[in-house]
Amino acid sequence: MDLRGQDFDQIRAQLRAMSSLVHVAIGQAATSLLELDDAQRVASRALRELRRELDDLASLIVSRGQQPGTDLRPILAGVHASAEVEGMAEAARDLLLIARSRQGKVPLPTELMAILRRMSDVTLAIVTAAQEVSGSLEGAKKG
Amino acid sequence: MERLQRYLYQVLSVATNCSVRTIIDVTLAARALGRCANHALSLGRHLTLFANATPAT
Repeated sequence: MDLRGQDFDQIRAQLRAMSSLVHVAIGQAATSLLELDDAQRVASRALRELRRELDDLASLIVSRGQQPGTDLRPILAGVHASAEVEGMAEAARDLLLIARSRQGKVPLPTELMAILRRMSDVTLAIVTAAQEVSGSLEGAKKG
Repeated sequence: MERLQRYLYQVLSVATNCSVRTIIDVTLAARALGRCANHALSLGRHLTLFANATPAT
């Protein structure tokens, strides 16, 4: 199987786009515990579309046929990464549902909001770190 | 288990002077954020594997 550089570039670009979108989704979902935003729904749709494209691309690469010694780990890692992003998007959707159900109700107590805010900051920091790991390793390979 | 959970929600509700609904919402939100963080950690591992295994372009 000929795993072409452009295949990896495409997968890499899509994973990066998905990570960015889910970063936006989580940030906005956490914020939406205070207010709701349409951008969340747009990010969610775009994420689903990217996931579908990534799955199609991975299937296409695998279906080209396999030569002995071909390393399929990057393809599997890409598909797994994609599934993790989807899991994060699902969690962001759950947050949104909670936010929506609380509209018009008494706001959450400040102390509890502060804890949730810190949790969302930590989560966003982990997503950012994941994106940076990917970017820095790529940069190291090129350099 | 569910009864224990309901009891704990009520205890927390009294302790924090919040409604049970609020306690449940905060718990669910915290769980969602925790799930999100776990997925983010796994994402980091998979992206590292991906970046290490892909050829330089």
